[in-house]
Amino acid sequence: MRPVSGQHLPRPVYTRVIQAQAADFKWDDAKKGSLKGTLKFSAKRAGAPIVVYLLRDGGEGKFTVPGALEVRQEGAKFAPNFTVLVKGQTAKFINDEKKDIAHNVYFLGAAEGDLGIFEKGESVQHEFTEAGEVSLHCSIHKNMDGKFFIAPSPAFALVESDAESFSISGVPAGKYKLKTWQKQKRFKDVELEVNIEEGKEAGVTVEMAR
Amino acid sequence: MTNPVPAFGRLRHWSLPVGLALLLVALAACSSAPALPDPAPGMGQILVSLKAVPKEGVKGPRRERVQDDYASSSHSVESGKQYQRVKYDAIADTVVLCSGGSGPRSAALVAGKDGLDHTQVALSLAGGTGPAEVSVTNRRAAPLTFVAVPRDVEVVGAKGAGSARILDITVAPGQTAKLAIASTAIYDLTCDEDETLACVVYVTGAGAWIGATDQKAFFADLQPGDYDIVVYGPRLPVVRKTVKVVAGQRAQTEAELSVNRLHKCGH
Repeated sequence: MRPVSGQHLPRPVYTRVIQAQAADFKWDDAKKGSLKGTLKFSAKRAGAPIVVYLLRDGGEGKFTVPGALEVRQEGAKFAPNFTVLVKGQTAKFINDEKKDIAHNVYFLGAAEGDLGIFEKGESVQHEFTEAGEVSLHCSIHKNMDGKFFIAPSPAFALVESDAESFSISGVPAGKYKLKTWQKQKRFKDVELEVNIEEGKEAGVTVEMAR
Repeated sequence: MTNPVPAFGRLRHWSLPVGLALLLVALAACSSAPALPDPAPGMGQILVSLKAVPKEGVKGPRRERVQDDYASSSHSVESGKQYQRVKYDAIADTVVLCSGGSGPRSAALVAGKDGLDHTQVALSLAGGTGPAEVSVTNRRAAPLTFVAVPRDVEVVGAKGAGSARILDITVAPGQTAKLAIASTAIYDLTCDEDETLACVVYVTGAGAWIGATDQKAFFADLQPGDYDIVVYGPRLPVVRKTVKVVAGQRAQTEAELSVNRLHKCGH
């Protein structure tokens, strides 16, 4: 039976194929290229880093996740106060206060959860499985805040506030969407297509405008 | 045997607690919120009771004994600004947005040496013409440039979605400048010169309220129907509710702001 105009038949088989391709893709086995780029700003830039990251057409697939990141809490401060994790990476929060001070860690944003209260000398860890911005807080101490950006894959570059160029190496050949994330928002975030070819270095200029 | 206490002495004896009780009643009457108006004909209202709850199991700061040459005393181990605790009895700058109603069209921020005096402000473009305004006063010695960037999320009561743009103002020392906002969105307002000068500006096309969590948010003149209520407590999980409004009635709901609602995780 033909569908009525405007009525679409579901295509579950096609969807399943796409999902299977994404899950089966292995970064370690893929032929690699790299990307080199420059950020151009239309106005004064904030004194905070920008993350440039790539989203692979067809899904991220499987990649080796870096080891756990240690976040210390002495002086009621998250150290590091900001960093980029890769999706699936674990953060280990360590209460290394010198005095008998308890902390709590909870996080809001792309992922939300409460890691409980832990005393001096104790630690707690969590695997961040959702990509995006996550803010860290202690429910006890009002000035104890931090931030993570969870990159969807290892294909990202952290561009510090005093830098304009970046490079991302070891990227599997293929089509990607390049995206930006700003710790302190000043410009519209950018999304553009890039093509990574095996053994080659692609070049891109990222225009950050308002 | 006669009572040794003279008459005026007995009077003083019982009058003290009674007097205190009367004083407390008088103070309570003075400090109570003004009575809310009755709903207009054919319209309803929403009253949102806010409550901030600390994390379960949190204890007060521990104390340590300090011995000097003359005596010993006990001090909190948590001293210094970095160890200031969250006061859950009244968390200021809590924003409540409603998909109906109206709210303030202006807000004021002061940038002093300790930062901005508010972490969140709420504005409404409902029921008026022209943009909403945030005035920023610079009490520092150098000029400050503020930039307001809309987030990629839809705000309750959004109008003309996607039309919000990046706005900026520079405020000279000792001066006040106004940021005119004509589009609904949630804006991150930050300062070029000092990253700690930051505030979230909620601009809706419907109901907006800002206050502390020991207060109640009130939205009047609502047509009968279902309304979305969203509560943004600073550093706390967002609370979302749907409230049914009936003509001639005041719908009441509670919003508990707490970390305890979050998924428990970690190992």
